Amino acid sequence: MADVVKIVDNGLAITTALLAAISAVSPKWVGWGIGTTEPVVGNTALESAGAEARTVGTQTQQTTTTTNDTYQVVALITCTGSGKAITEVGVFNHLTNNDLFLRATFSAINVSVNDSIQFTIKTVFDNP
Amino acid sequence: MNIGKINRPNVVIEARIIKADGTEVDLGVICDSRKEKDKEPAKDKVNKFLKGGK
Repeated sequence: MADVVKIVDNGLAITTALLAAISAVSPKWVGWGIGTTEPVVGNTALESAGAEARTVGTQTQQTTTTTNDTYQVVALITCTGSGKAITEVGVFNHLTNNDLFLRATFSAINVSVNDSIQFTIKTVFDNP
Repeated sequence: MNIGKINRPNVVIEARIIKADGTEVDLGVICDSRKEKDKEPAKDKVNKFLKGGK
């Protein structure tokens, strides 16, 4: 499966709401799933979210091309219940609501119960 | 190639597996939207050439 990641349409709204000081909530909740359909900008949720709750990521500014041009979220999710093949991850603006910022699909990462995946998700604003 | 278009931000995702026994496996980059966008300028250039542009 090709790896594909997109800032979805709602992600643009989240971004401008922050810039306009309409919202003070930044996208930091990370959830995973087993969906395999590639993301499109109209996505509003993960295709098949795992039973595990979203976790709150650690937010920082990073530099990719220009100083502080990158928003980074680092989050750890631990497998519970049963082993699974993780193929999608999403960043959300809420713990439980489908307030999606970005969604990605990728080749399966197999996890057993009590295994974890640490995701480092970088949104890069300067792309010369 | 700057064609005056404002694109969405790029996203790069890295992953690391932390096994229950504490061992770790670094998967590196598992997703990179810049790889998809790198293909676009070439296609744009070809299409522009076929239409007679420079």
